[in-house]
Amino acid sequence: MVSEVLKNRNKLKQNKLDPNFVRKRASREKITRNILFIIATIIVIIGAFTMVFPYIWMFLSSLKEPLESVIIPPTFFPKDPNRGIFGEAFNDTRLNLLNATKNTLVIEVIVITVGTFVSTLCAFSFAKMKFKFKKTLLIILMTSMMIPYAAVMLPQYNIYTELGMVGTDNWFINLLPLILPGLFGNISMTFFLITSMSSSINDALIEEAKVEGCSWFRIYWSIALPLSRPAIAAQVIFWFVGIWNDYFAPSLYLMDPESRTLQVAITLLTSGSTNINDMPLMYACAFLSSIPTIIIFILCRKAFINMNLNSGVKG
Amino acid sequence: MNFSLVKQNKSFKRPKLSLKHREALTGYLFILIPIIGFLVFSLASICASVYYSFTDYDPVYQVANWVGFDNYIKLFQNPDFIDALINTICLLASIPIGVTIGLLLAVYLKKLAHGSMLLSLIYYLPAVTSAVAINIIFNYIFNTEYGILNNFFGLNVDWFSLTDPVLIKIAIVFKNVWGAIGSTMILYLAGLNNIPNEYYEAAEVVGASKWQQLINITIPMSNPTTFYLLVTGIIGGLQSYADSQIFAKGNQNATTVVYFIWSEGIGGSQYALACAASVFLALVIIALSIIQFSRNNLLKSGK
Repeated sequence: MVSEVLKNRNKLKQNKLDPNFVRKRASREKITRNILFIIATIIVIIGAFTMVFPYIWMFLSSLKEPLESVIIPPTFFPKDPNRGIFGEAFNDTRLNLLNATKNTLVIEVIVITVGTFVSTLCAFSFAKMKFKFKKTLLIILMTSMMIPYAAVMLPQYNIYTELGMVGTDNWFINLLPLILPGLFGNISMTFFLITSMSSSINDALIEEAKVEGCSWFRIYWSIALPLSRPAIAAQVIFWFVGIWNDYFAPSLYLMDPESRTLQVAITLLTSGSTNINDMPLMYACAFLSSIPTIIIFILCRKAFINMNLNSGVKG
Repeated sequence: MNFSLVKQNKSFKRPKLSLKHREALTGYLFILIPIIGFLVFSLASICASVYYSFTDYDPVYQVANWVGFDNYIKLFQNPDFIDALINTICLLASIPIGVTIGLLLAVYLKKLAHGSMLLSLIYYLPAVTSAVAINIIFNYIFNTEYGILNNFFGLNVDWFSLTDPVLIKIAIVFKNVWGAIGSTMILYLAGLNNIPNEYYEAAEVVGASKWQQLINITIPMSNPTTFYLLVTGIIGGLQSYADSQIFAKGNQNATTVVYFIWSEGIGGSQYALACAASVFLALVIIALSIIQFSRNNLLKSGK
């Protein structure tokens, strides 16, 4: 019994080592691999089509006449494309898209200019300067990344209301609740830059500058900033897209038509009783508002990919 | 000559001490603004939330009486909150699905000689598109009567049904998987490049199939990425709001915890109750973040 099993096993072993057998198995595996690869390619291409379809659909639907957009069954291509819809979107007085874009850009420019300065200065200090309690202070700053916005928005909403920054006549004052927090910097930008600054800036360079009598601010401004420009640029792009797409906080504070940001203005059309006449307009706005970030992404794809690579996974 | 030497010595010694001092002072000054920002916008705000959650505070009357844990007890007896909590947890289903598809896609793209850049660009598009635009167009695609999905596949499904609690969740999970594949794929691609090629070569020599290589090399080696994606995905998913506001238009089967906090605290009149809900949410998210951070540190110190 036992010897039979052993014989069989030996036979199997011989079979496995037989070059003919190995070659056959290899070629069979190659064929299955190729078939699998083709199936995977088909799935990935269908997936890619699913990814772009909503964008195509957004575009095609915005070109339709209002009644055509709710027709059953839906037409794929608009029968009589309304090319003027994007102009209409800009001229619509309820939406006031140009004004909304201006408001978004005002927030972007102020927050990013001041916030980047504050965050890079802070990152430089943590990366290259020596002082007590550095680690503790860093951990304290880190905890703010754990606190969800929903947990702080209620008291903040109260305080901004009491300070007279919600629903006033002045569009700029209404934007302040969205601008003020950004002026104190962006913690995730700071963290990203701490790692990139401590590795990319040579300590000897700083020592040399110190010997020559440069102030710390001078070292930051003329050495640290230029040397970490790519890292900062990537962060700024990421931040820009984040503010552009932000919806929750702006929707809380910006009821006044004069101070709406782009995303808030678009949601006006979605609320409650959506008029059929507004539907193509709504898709046109959604489409128009996503174009700038998509263009930025395509132009700066490397920044986005690197950003993702550095977002905290150290395996 | 002698005099100047002494002076030089002095000036050499004294600034060295004060330089160190000055470095520390400047260092503190440089981080002052973010620290103030933390104190005001995080610490003071969360403390206020915690305080109000123990009172019957109402922003209209501005009177706060201490009520102890009443709000928390009421919160877990509030059917709207329980619904919102269950909905939020159900909607987290999109995270493991998105992570799995992202991993498989990354494995495929890594094998691809041409076109992987274009494909990764296409798959990443939703990550740079606003939640508003995504929700508007998916609301249209899923529409029961004139939506392209039902009409194209000949379905007769009322995705926005008020009576069926599952359908709208399926729609939202699909939409969120669609939105998450790109960013998970990019992270996995980076992780895959860190796996030494020798492992796969060794596996080939032993005769392991591609499937076995995926199970025994790629997935275990990508564990840190998977863990990171799952935890950050859950943290993000717990804070979802636009899904219920724009996509579901307040449908009770798709309300989330943040939607509950918003509708009770800012839209409604139960400010203190909403504060209790927000503190509960914060506790869950802080716990998850601590797990994430400590695991990350463990990995770093282990290597």
